[in-house]
Amino acid sequence: MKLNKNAQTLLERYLLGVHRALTGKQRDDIRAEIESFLLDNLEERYPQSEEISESQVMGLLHEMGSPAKLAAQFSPQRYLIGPRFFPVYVLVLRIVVPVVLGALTLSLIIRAFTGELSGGAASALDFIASLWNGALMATAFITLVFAILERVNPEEVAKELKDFELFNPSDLPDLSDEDKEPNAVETGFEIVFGVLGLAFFTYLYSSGGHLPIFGAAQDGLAEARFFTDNFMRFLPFMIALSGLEISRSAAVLVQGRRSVLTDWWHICTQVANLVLIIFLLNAFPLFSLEGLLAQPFAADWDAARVGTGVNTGIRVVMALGLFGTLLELCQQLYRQYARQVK
Amino acid sequence: MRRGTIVLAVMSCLRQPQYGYALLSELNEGGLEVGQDTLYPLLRRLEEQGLLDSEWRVEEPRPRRYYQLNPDGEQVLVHLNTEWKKINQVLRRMTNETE
Repeated sequence: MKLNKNAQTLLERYLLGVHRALTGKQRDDIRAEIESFLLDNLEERYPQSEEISESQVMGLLHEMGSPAKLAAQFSPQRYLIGPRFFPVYVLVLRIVVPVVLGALTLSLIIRAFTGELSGGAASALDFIASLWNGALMATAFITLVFAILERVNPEEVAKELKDFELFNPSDLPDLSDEDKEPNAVETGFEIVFGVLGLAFFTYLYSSGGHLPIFGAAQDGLAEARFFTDNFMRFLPFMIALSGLEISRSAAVLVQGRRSVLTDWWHICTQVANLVLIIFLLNAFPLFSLEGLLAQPFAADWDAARVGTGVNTGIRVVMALGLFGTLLELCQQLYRQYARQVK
Repeated sequence: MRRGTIVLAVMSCLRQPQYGYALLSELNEGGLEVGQDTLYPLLRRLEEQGLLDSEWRVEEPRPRRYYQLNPDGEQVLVHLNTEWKKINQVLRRMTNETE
């Protein structure tokens, strides 16, 4: 069997399309196998033909479908985020992306009120660009987290399967409060507070540490910087940690239960929180009241004393936070240990 | 159910070396309608699982990739056959069929 020139060209074009749609080390191999399959098919269809025409090849290729479709049939199934995590992933995106966009919009409105923003097309384009950038970054970050979880997951699935084989009903542990279904209201509150925190941190990030002061200036709204560069350096980590905690709470809410994965997820974010607080405690002063003290209503305030007092107060609160986080972390680790021993 | 029977049928056919198109024809002629979109991913999966070996043979009119069960595949096929016979017996009893 022989293909005429046009038929040969058509077949090669099709195979090129298939090759481009394939990925991985085996693409050359798969291409060669598809070529072999197509030629075998033509040979069986037209056993008497000495030369296969372009229209005969065209007929076969129509039946095979587009090169991309054929390539997909020969390739293993690929996905970034699998069906197990996809609903949670979508839920987290639906929460976080609007929050980021809302915070950026709020920042723009306040900047417009305080006169920091010059009007015109440039500002509008700048705003659209920052919205696009914010949404893209939030989506990329969440996707990355879920893609990592997806790839960590097979080991957990394998472990669950192994546990299943060794299953003995008498070995089932008693339910503790932690193992029972999570309280939806409590988890909902966690998400709401997490979202508010995320919105606040995102707003601070976009405003460069400035906050609005209502009723301070003559036109009713002014802006002052409350956070030092030391604090601003850690802000991306705070945003990331807030995102992780919201994702975990959302996962618990959707699944209706805590799992080994969500528990370790919580432990990891607690450890990260702990490290962050330690770094923050070593980075004082984190807050600056200079902007506030420059306002007319604060003219009589003792700047040094107020500044020191606020920073000291916040340092105490953070130290208590450090202690609380450490305590909670120890509890979590103990529970995991007890679960393993059972 | 069909998925499992196709695996069994393909592995049974591959006790002898066969290339994809010939295997497809054999299955279809035997009454098991299988498309290339099912067969080729299955062959790759079985090979990845270490049950099949494959090699390109170039001495024929055109290069063809031949698949054949390896010793691990033979062992799995024996298990699958035993399982299939058990299921077949049970179903025959349940549907009151006679030989």
